[in-house]
Amino acid sequence: MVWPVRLAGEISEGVDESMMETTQKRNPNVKFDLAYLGVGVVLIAIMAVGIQFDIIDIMVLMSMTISLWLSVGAAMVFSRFNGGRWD
Amino acid sequence: MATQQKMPPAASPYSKPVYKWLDRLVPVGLALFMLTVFFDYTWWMIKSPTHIASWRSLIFFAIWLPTTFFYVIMAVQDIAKNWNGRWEFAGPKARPGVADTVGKDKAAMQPEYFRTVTGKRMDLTNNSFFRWLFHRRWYQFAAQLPNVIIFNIVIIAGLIGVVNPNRNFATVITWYVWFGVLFALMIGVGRAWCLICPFSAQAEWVQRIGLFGRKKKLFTLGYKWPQRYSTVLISVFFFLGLTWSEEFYNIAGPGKPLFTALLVAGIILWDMFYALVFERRSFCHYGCPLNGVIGVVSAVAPFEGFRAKDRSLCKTCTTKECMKGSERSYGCGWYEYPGSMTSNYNCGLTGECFKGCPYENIGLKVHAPLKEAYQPRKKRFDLSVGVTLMMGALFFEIVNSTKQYGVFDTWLSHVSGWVVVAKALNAPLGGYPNPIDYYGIIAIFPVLGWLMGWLGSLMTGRAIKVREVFTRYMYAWIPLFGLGILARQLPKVLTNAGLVAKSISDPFGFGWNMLGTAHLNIHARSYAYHWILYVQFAFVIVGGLASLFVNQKITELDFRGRPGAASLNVMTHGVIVILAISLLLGYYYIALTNPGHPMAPPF
Repeated sequence: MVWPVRLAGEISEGVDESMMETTQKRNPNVKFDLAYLGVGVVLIAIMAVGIQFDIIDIMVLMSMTISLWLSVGAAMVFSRFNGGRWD
Repeated sequence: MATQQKMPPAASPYSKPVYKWLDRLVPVGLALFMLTVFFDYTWWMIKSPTHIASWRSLIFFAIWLPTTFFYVIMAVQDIAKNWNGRWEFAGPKARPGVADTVGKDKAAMQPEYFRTVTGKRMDLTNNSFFRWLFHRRWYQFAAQLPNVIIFNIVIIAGLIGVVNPNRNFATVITWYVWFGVLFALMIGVGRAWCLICPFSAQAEWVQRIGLFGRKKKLFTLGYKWPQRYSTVLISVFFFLGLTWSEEFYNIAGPGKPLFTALLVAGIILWDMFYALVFERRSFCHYGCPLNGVIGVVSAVAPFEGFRAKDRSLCKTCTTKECMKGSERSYGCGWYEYPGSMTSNYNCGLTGECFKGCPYENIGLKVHAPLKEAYQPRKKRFDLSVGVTLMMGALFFEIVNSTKQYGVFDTWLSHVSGWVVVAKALNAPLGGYPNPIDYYGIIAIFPVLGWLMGWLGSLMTGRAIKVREVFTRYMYAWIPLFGLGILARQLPKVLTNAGLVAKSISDPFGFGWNMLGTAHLNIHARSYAYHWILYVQFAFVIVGGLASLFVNQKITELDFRGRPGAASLNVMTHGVIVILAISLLLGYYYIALTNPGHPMAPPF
């Protein structure tokens, strides 16, 4: 199957599944990244419920939980720059 | 109690009746202790007529019953299996001959990795009692259980107890006792808290479906944490985030006990989530907000952690029970390989490697303090960044006690519109602390450290890279940070820790008197005793001197003979002196400006 995509500065004809496989090889943690985003959506939704109904207990718990989520996210972002080498 | 189990190995060095019965009776005693606490609390709850017929008793029993019975059932299972010595040590195997030839050659091929250790060391495992103790499967369970009970009571007390934080066990034990004991443990023993941690204990018990037995099947998806994201910085960032949340909702003020319960329950739930999804103790590595702090400050401690006695033997070991586990042990939950350990940073003192090693080649040595900070040849960049960030958090905790900071923070919150967000988030303190100034103050310290590295690199004529100067010398900040942050906890701990004597008799503030100490003449003080300031000074001075010592050692061991090493040494010493003086002045200033008690540090 061919997927039409726009690359920077040009219109490409598309990218085939073999290229997608290459992308997955470049980032072996795709599943982790997607699950991470999924967890984030759930956490933000719960926080939104807490704010909407002014339930401070949920807000307190979620503010702490989201800070853990953001911490993992920060490490994920930094790993893009350092290639995952931390030592 | 007798079950059809494997018989204890005939060659076991612990086959004497006294050892056998101790091994059987200690877990039984622990289980009985758990039941005694359960029945005692239940009895007092039932005796409390105003509370038994309310929502409070529902919450109490909803937590109290399932957790206690889950643990007791697990304990009975493990005790039954342990009865006939299923996990008894069969005695050490003979040392293979290749260890003296191939093993020694292999170990000698890594001179760049292992530094020759110096100074006196005392191996606790040379003592027969400790050797016996570390071989017990219940060794860690015995250390964890009292803490698990305490922190489960913290959760219940926070949820159902009185709102007054000074009468509620949740806030009294957590913020007046635990936070001081925690830092004292790090400095004294290293990861002793990780050994007794009640949060990871419960997650691990669920993951293993057992309290101390060796189970073959685990209750977890067992995913590996991605290598690319394996950094202590997750833990440090979370520590900073949690500190901000704690200030924002005034949790440790001490504020509402309910918030303390949510914090503790939250950590257990996150830990449980990690344990069910990822393998081993992934939360301790990549989630626990205290992992970075404890790991870093442990470098001050005189404990080396469980480590191979003779690396050449490990080089020829093909089974690696220390990492993979054996019939009588789990693989190291901390992913540590004792054969290549050069610091105590990742040793959670669980003792699984000691139980697993068929050669009894694992030791637990005690040496002079600070060695773990300068001895490792390999120093980690992310750990150094973490040290600077945590030093920033410490300075924030001092700056935020000044009036000037309060004025500035309020102004910034109005200018930046943060007050609107804070209102939506129901902040009790009007939005304090504004995240811009909070993270701004913290960010000063990594920048300062990097600037120091850049200057140092210039001094060496760029012969040494900025990153190397930064990475190696940031380890010298560890003792100052460790003792500095302990000093910050002292006003609360030394002034009000005594309240725990009352609180253990009346944990929920319901008017109980379980141990007869509820009516002691101890009262909460709003301001610390003024002598505490001098104790704080002493801690900072000792920390500063220790940091200077480590700095000197790092120069000698890591930079000797390299260009510009002498100038580097002087500059890095100077930075430590400036930091130590800033801490001293900070503690002095907040003591002077605190209203009502001219020389006392504020809370």
